Amino acid sequence: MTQLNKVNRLSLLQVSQEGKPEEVARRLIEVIELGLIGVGEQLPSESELATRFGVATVTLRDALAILRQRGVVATKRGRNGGSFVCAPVEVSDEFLKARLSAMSSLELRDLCDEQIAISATAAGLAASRSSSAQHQRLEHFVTALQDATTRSELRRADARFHIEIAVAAQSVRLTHAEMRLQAEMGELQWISTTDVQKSTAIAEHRAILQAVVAGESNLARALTEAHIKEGIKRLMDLRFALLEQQESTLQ
Amino acid sequence: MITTPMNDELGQCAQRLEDILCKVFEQLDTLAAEVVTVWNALDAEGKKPTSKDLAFLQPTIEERLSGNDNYIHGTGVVLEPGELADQEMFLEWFYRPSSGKVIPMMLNFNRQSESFYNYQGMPWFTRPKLTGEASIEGPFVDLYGTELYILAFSVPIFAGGHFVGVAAADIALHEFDQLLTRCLLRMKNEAFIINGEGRIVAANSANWFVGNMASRPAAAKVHKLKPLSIEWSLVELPVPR
Repeated sequence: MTQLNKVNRLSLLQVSQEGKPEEVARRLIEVIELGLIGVGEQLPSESELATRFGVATVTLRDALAILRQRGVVATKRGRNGGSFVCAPVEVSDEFLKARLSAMSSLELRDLCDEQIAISATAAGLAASRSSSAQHQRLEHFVTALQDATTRSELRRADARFHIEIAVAAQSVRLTHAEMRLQAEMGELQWISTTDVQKSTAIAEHRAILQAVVAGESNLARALTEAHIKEGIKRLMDLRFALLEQQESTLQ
Repeated sequence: MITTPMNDELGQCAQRLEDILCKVFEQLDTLAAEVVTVWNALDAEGKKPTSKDLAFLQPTIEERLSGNDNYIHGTGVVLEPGELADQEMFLEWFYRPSSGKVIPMMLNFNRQSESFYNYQGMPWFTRPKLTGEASIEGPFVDLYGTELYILAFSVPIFAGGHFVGVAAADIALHEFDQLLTRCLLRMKNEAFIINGEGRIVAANSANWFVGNMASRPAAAKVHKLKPLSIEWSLVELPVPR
């Protein structure tokens, strides 16, 4: 085996593994999204945060760099310096479209594969393991999707439904995997949302919930798989349309 | 060698499990008693307690968390709204991160915020409040606090005849499992522990998955675990493991 091949093999292993700085960054984002540290507030000092997360200061600095890059915090230098929480940025449709068109067909298909592996499995398990209290929580997030109007509201209600399914499945790993997937997808699914898309998503979530409540594992799994494929297909179609548009303006 | 009769195995195993559970509850009772002492003293002076009056719990809490019982992920007291002069909702709570020293738990008590952490609706708070008895909630995947599969133990705190709050502990099931499973392995037959909703908390056979809802065969022997308020049972099946 050549050195290059070895490196390639290793990088393949790393794809699915979240690095330490990314993990710390994700947890900090969760803390900020929970509102534990409000907009404009200062983050605790680097050494304090490093102790809190049990990581080296270097790792924490890398995590802060990720947050800065994503516009979650801004760092001021000098005596009264430090990292401050920025107001959440309203991402434009154009930005999301640019992100989508830069993705490859393979990437989208692979995302679909992983989401099915995680979310559909979780739904199947939730059907056999969830309690009535969890059914009520799920119901709450179907209603939240109905009530949602802005893109970030739609996305949050949608993401929460899937995360709560994993919680109902009683799996810590599936819950983490689902949270990571939802964070990765961001608001992509909700670019240029139509009423039809919204009502379809609500109907699909409701059908999954019904299967979970009825304890129909296979049905819950199959419905979730179909729901995910539907979503990714829509993204693929949207991407093709965007690329086509770009092509035609080039000519 | 002393051989125990088969029919006593279930009882002995139940006794051991109860001892383990009681140890956690005893620690919470100690915490609750400390709160009551201070509440009574302040009441005698005609003062209403403030959040600062709870700081005296810190050494006890830190001692618990730095002890050998590494299954305690976090512990402290959670106050009934209106009990403190300076804060509406409050908790004196510390937890042990995956590494490093014990740190205080921060939660969002801003009612306007979407992520408002309203513990007044959470079973580990409401159940001891309503029944006046010890409670175990879970296991459940804790999405916000700990990112673990958690059992929430709680006991009510009553001072001067009224409900003040709860003393509680988050027990990480992946650590606690060691203790429970070792007890269950003393049984020759397949056995598992189920909670009030019928979910398996621990088992001594790969035929029974933790977190699954248990279907209870008719021939199973069921032993209710004490304290009875927790609604946990030890189930023994007529099948050798």
